[in-house]
Amino acid sequence: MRDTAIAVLLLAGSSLSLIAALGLHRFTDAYARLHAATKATTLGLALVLSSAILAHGTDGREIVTLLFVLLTAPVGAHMVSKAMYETGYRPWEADEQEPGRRRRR
Amino acid sequence: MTAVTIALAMLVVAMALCLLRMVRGPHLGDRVVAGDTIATILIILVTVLGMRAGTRLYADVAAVVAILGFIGTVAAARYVRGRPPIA
Repeated sequence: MRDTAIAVLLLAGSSLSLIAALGLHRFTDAYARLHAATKATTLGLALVLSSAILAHGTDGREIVTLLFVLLTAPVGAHMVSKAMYETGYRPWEADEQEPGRRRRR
Repeated sequence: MTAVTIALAMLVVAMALCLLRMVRGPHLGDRVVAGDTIATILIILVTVLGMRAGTRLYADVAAVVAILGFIGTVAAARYVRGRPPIA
């Protein structure tokens, strides 16, 4: 039972990381990629650290790591997106004349 | 143990996709985002390696990678902000 919980948490966290990397690879512009990557990897980290705590117990180090990442990941993502916007990089918009076409700005 | 191996394989594929995005760009911000994602996936990878080795020493490594990843992202964001306007 315990082993099953450990395996399920581990595989769910790794799958979320893989999905985040797929989004980073496939999405249209840097803002969408940031959106896909930041949140999914944070939740994946939380699941994998829970799995490690279930497997080996904890003396607080895993919890400190998780709290640190939960605090700093939104700060870092906000700083990156604001810096990109200040260089003049604008979000991608759909072309109204041809909805399927991608127009980069 | 099989689950650990499958998880390691998925994480390596995820890191390869991030590396591909870092190489291809095209905007400087894409590379910074890819580096941030690689840092987070590296924390997960180190934790899973610790589970595979059966020791808790890797928890320190994960904490240090988390701190260095955040400092690197902030430094790269400040570097992007100093660039001239592009595209």
